[in-house]
Amino acid sequence: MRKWFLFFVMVSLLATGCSRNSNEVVVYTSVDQVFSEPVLKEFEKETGIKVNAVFDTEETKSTGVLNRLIAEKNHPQCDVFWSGDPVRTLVLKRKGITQPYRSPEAQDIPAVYKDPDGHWTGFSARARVLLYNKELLEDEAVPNSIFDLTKPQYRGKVALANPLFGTTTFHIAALFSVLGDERAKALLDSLKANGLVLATSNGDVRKRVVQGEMACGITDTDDAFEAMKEAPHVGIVFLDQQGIGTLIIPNTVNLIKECPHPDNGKKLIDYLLRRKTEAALAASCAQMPLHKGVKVPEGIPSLDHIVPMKINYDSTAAKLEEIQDYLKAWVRSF
Amino acid sequence: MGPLVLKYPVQKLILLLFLALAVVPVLNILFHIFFTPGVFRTTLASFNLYTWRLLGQSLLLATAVALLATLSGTALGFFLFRSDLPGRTLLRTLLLIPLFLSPYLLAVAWKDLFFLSTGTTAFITSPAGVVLVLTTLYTPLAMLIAGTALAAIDISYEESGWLLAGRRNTLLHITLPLIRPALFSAFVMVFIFTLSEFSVPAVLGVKVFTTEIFTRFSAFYDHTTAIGQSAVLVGICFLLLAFEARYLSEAPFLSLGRRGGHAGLYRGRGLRRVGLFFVLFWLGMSVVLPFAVLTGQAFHGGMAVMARALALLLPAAPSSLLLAAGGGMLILITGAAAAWRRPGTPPSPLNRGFDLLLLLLFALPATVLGIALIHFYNRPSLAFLYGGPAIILVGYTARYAFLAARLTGNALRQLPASFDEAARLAAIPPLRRLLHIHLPLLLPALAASFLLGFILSLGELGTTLMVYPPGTTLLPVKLYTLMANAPQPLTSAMTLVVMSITFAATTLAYLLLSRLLKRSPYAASR
Repeated sequence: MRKWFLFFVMVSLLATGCSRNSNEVVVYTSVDQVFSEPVLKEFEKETGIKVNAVFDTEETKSTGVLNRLIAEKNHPQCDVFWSGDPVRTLVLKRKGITQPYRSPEAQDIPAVYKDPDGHWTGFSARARVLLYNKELLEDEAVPNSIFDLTKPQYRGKVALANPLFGTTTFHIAALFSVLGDERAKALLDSLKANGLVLATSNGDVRKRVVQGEMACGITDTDDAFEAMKEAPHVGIVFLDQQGIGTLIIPNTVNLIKECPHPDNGKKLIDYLLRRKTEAALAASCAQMPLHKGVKVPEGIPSLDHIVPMKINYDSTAAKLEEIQDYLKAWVRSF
Repeated sequence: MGPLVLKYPVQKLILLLFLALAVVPVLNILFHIFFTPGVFRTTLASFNLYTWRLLGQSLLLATAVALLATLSGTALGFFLFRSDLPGRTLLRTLLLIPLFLSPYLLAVAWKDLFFLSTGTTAFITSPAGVVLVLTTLYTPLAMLIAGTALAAIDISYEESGWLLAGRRNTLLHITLPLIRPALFSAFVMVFIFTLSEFSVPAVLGVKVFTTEIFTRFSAFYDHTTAIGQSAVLVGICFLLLAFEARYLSEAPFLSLGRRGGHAGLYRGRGLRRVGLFFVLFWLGMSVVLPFAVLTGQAFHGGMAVMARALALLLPAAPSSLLLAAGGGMLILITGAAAAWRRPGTPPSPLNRGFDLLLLLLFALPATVLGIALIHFYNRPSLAFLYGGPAIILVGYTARYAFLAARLTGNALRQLPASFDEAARLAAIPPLRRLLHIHLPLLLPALAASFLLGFILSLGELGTTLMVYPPGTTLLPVKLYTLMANAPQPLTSAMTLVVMSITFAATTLAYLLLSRLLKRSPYAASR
């Protein structure tokens, strides 16, 4: 009896490995599971195509799936990579892991949020904002510009996530693109001299501000809105609305080169780029639609009312590569 | 060669299979890294003054944690295994709780605890904070190693000492020197665990060598240099193991029960008082405080949060428990095969060779192991393995078989050779000797190997995240993916749920194994 049980367990384990359904799509995503899973479930329900997802974790700074995609390059298992930011997408493009696909659903998405070669398309965006603790900063003392954070009154009160990872990396690269190397380096040096605290992640920035350990910190809108739901004593500011603007970080989606289910992959990409998906993401995690005229719940910001930072995403990615050694040295100096 | 292969053919078959499934992928990627032109030079070039300093910091931290954990673990082991402290069994069990928590979550709880109680995280986010957290994490392991060694001491040595020199002198000059090999073993194990630990220094913002390797992987996607740097960690562990093998090859190691003799207890009211104070202090510091923070945060959101945490995680429990049980079994089988030799004989060259190979896999960062498995298995001909849960089992076994080999090896050293010799003289065939003499005597160590493998597999994240089949839901993966943007109460509630599932499953497995052990000849000898 026991032998049969063991045999059954082994056979089921192996069989699960062999039984790959052709009406499926494999998606790897760095978007938080709480937000991405309901969208994928909805796609499954609507199309009947089974979605097999691999999600990423905070512990790996959401780079686990990207490292997996790179390691799987010679024999891809994934059809679609749904990234929470353009940084990882551009790494994949540079490494030759993606293939072009221009979705008909993306026609009215502004060109700045799409790859000219068709390797990635942006949708539902977040923004980099300042999250502040109302108990520690009076209304009139809330900074309006990233340059304000270098003033003595904010000494030791500002947190920023480690800029070697995630959206903070891209934010710094965008500052270098917009300001030029010299001004950007001067800004970073002034922030450091003013007692900037490097947090381990954007989530850590959120936690420190909510707990009152820091008066304010720069983070992404999804973290900021979750913080506002959790704690009414925090608020947000879109920085530099009279100056260089706020960095907009779209979600991006790519089709993986030589993927096992290209047709289903395209269907999933089309689904993600629909207005309906953008409306769902606006409701669940305060992401701003890139399609014009998508209805969003009250209180969710709209790109129509925000001055975006004027950058080219491809050249900012190139800039990111260029400044990596400088950034590494800057982080080491803390 | 022929007779060598024919001797213990099942053992050779298991080891051959393990070699092909787990060792070859790792050697393949290391070979690829070091023999690709220019790669070795690039890796060497990545070592500058800063990197060496980080390596030095890692070594210092590992030494401090290993020393403190060994000292505290020995004291706890003494009070809980060799003194007449009331409630020893319960206290021993409670002190094991940190082993059920992931280092990452423990570090987060400690950071919150410091901020909530002192208003600052300055201390906990320093190297001293890392030492504190890791010492509380690994002391239970040192306690088990030292405690079981203390319990296994032949009472006749101590009785002679008690008569002639008193209990205090006996403890200092007979008992502790007798368990010196076990203390060294505890030091080595904690040192290796600490040296390769990444998440605690990362959460606490302390730069060490493993965070540098992680940065190479996750900020620069430079797999080649990261794997090259990881090889340095493995090299250090090899050196330590070589040192251990050279000077202390007879070190006993963790086992479930007492084998060597019926060691007597140190008694006395003063000793009980000191013991109770120390054990309760340690329990308060390492278990009650972080656990209280997690519980407080979880229930801050009300029962609805706990219900949500249960609803989110319970669906992932059955598959995780099944896989962890499979992992525990494979870890046990592989470890036992790697350590197996005729009882009472020293380790053979085969045992020593596999000890090194298992250490290589144990000391390798989990991400590197994951990448090695992907490079080897991700091909059409092996899709039946890579596309299913079998690849996760390979990962579990590769990561933790070293521990099972150590447990079994130690138990084999303690088996009296006379039993085997008597059976040979009576012309009992090898298979019957194995099934009816050796296996029943080894049951406690095998049960400990299974339990340890089961607990570690249930919480494994690093390699699993790299290879788990798309669409699979496993507890650690689900916990960490959900907590990325979850509010603090939900994160803490989910941590408590995972901890409770692990604790309940381990207790159940322990009770089942205890029933099995009671039927073994070992139980009759107690």
